[in-house]
Amino acid sequence: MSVVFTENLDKRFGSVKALNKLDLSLDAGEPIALIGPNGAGKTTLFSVLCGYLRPSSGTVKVLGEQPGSSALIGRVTSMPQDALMDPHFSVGRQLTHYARLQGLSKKAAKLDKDRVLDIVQLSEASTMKPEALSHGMRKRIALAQALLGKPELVLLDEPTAGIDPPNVKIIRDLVSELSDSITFIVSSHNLDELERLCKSVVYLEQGELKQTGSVNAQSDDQDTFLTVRLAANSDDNAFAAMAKAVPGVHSVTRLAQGDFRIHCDHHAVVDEPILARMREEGIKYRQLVRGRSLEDRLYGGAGS
Amino acid sequence: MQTLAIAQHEVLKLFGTRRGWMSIAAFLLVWGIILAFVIEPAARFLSNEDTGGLIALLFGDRAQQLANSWGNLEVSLYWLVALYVLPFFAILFSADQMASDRSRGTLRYLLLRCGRFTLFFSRFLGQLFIMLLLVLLTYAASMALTAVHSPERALDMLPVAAPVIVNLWLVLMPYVALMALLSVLASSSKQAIVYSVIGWIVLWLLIRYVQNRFELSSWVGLLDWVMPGAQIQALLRLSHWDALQLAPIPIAHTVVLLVLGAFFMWKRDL
Repeated sequence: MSVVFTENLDKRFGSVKALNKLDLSLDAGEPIALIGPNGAGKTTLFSVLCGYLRPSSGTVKVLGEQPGSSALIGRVTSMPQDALMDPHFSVGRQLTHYARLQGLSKKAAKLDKDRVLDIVQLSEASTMKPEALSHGMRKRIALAQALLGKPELVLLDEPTAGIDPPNVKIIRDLVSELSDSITFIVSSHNLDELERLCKSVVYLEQGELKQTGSVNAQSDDQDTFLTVRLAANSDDNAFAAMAKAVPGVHSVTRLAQGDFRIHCDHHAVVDEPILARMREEGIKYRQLVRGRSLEDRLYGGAGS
Repeated sequence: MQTLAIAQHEVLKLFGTRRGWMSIAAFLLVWGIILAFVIEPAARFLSNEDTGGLIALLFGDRAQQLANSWGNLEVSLYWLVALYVLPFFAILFSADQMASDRSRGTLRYLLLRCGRFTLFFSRFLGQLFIMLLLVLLTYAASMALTAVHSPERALDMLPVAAPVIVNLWLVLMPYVALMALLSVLASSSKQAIVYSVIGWIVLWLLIRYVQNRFELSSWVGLLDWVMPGAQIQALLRLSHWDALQLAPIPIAHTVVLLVLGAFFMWKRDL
C-alpha cells in the first residue's frame, strides 16, 4: 500500500519554490530515509503531508486521504522539527490531552500516556514542565507524542539533531523496534544513522526528487567498491600505497582522514589480500565495508 | 468529544496554570478597585451621601436616570460599569487563542489530532465559557459589596441576575470572536492586542470619513452599527430582558468575525 503519494506537487513561498513538481510514491513497510541538503524541501514536504502547509498545486495523498483529513486522525503522526509543547502544562497532562483528541476515553488516554512515556524511558517526566527537560529529553517526549494511539505512519523530522549519543541511540533503537508495525519516514543529515536505520532512501534537492532507491549498496556497487575506515593515528599514505599495489585494485581515493574508497575490477577479490597486507604492515582498521557508503554514493566524495 | 476536550483545556489554561491565576488575580484587583473607587462612591452619591466621583463626572445629570434603569441602584451601576469595562478584559483574556501556540509549534501537535475548524471554534467556545465565569464573578463581587452595607438590597440583586449576565455575555461575544480572528493572524497575544487597537482606530476613522463624505445618503447611518460594541450606548437606556432587543447586533458581529477567523485559519500555513 502506498503511504505517501504525490503528483506534480508544488509548494511556493512567494517566488521561492520549496517543492517543484514532486512525484513520489512510498510504500508501507521498512523505515524510509528522506535526505537532502538544507533548503531541499524536506521539512516543507513533511509539513504538507501533515496538513500544516497547503500545496500550491498538484496532488498529495497520505494513506489514500487528503492531508489534514479527519480520516487520518490517529493514523498519521509526526515529530515536527523545533515544535515545542505548551510550557504552562506538564508533559503528562499534554500527552493525555493529545490522546483524548485522538478519541481515547479519559482513562484510556492516561494509560496510553504512561505507555508512550515508558517506551521512550521517560516515565518520570510525566509531572515535569517541558522547560525543565533537556534538549534530548524533549526530543524523546516529542517522539512519545508521535507514538500515542496506534499510528500507521510516523514522520520524524530531524529526530536526533543536536542531541547526545545516548539519546540518539534510544531514539534509533525505538524506531528499529517499532518499524514492524509502523512505517517511519525519517529526515536527517546524519547519513550513517539513516544507513543503519532505513532500507530505502528519497533524495531531494531544491525541491525536486533526485533519487529514490535502496539505502544499502546494490550488488554491482558491492562487487566494485570497498570502503575502509582505518584506526586512529594510522598512516594514510602507507595504506594508500599498499592498497594500490594489490592486484585488481583500480584506484584508491582518500575521502577523509582515515577513510578510503577502493575501486576494484568487477568481481575481483581484493578484500582478503588487502587485509593480509594490512596485517603484515601493522596497519589497523576499524571498518571494512563492501560497496560505497550512502554519503559517498549520493554526494560522490571528491577525495584526495 | 473533541470540542469538549479542547474547550475544557482552554478553561484549564486559565484555572489550571500559574499564569492563568496571575491573570485572575490581576483581574480581581482591578475589579476591586472599580468597586471601591467607582461603584461604591457612585452609590453613595446617588444616595445623596457623596460627591459621586467618576460616574458623576462622566454622566452628570444623566447619572440619576441611569442609576434607576434596573430598579436597583447597585445593579444599575454594575451594568453601567460592566458594559464599558468588561470588553477590555474580554480582549485581554482571549487574545491568545492561537497566536503563541502557532509560534511555538504546539499547534502542530494539536492539528495531528483535530481539524483546524474544530480547534478554532472549540477554543472560541472555551473562551466564551470563561467570559461567562468572569461576568458571574464580577456580579457576585458586586453583590458581596452591597451585602456589606445592605443585605436586603444584595438579595434584590438576585432576581435580575439572569438578564444582566446573559446580556453582558452577549456584549462580550464579538470581542472574543475578534480576538479569535486576530490571534490567528498575530504571532503573539501582545501583537493581537496591538492589531485590535489599530483595527479599532482605523475602522472608526474610516466610518467617520465615509459618513462625512456621503452624509446625505440614507445608508450611512447603518455604519454606526459596524463596530463591535456599537450597541453599548443604546444598551444604557435598556434594562432587564428588554436589553435583548439589541442582541442581534453582537450576534451578527460575532458571526462575521468568526467566519473571517475560520477563513484565515483554513487558509494559513501553520
